[in-house]
Amino acid sequence: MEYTRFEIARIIGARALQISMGAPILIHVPEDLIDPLDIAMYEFKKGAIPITVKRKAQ
Amino acid sequence: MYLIVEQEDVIRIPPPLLGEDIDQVLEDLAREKIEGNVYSFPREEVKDPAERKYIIVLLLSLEKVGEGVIVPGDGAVYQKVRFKALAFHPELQEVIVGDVVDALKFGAFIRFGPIDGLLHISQIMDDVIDVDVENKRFIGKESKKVLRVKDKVVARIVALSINDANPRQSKVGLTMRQPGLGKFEWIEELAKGEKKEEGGK
Amino acid sequence: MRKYLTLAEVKEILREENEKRELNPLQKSSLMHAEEFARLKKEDAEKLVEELMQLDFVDEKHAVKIADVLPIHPDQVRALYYKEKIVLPPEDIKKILDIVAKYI
Repeated sequence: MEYTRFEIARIIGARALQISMGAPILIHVPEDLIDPLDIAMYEFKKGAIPITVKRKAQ
Repeated sequence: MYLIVEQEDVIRIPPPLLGEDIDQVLEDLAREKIEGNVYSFPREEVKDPAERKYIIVLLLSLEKVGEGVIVPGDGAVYQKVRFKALAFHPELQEVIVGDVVDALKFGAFIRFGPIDGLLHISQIMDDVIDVDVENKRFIGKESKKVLRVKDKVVARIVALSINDANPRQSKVGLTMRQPGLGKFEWIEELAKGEKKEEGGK
Repeated sequence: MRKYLTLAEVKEILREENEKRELNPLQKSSLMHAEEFARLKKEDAEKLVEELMQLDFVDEKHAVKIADVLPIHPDQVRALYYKEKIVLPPEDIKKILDIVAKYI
């Protein structure tokens, strides 16, 4: 599924919040990545975030 | 009385637990949230609001309904679940069996399931009651009937207010001042006495 | 879905659970009460409920309650039916008491 930029923002935002709240990180990330937001963006780039978007049926 | 119910609820899975076996995590969280919790029957099913509530005693089975949802402002996953559970549902006018767990100057506490009910001194028997607080017993002035701790009784629920936040603090009022209610021994004696009468005729 | 349980059945369920894990205070209280008052074995309690339900004036809920209270006096049966605002004739009450008497 192609995500819109709004959906991408929502996914990364939710994931960053999870990481900041102590959720385990699912892939190996470079050691200099500390900020939850950076980690979430890295995970998204690698396609490792287990979150999907439920679109309201038209 | 006790019954098996099916009910739905939503369980919050905090982010730190997301890495573990999710079904096990979900079961543990559900057990913690659901057991001891108070739910209600739908309005259409039970008319009297006092009787609508029931207490979940034990979770028996659990299944996920759909996928978990992440809501704005919280990183946790909210998972809808459907469960079967053993529930305790006291009703007004229900007849219960229980034992006296404590005797105080204003009445006796009767345990009749997961919660206790209060049997006020005025509701113990058709008699003037002497309270012997030291020995934890109640004595009927005329009848000399005695009620003490550990006695088994049959009583009726006459007032009911389930405390949602803390079911053990629920207020249940009981009475034994009606035919067919009272201490087990009183009823046994009554039944025995009538049999003898029949035989004598 | 609603299925009523006798104290004998509740006792079995909670006993099994007690072997698997530590019970919470509410469950402990329930188990202690059920152990004290489940006077019939689970199988007998189930049989009694079944037999009572064959009487057309006894439904599942009342059958289960009768199996818990085990009435020995007509007044007790009347007390159980007080809420329904129906008065059972003495012969129906006797039928209930006779069935219960077989089990105690």
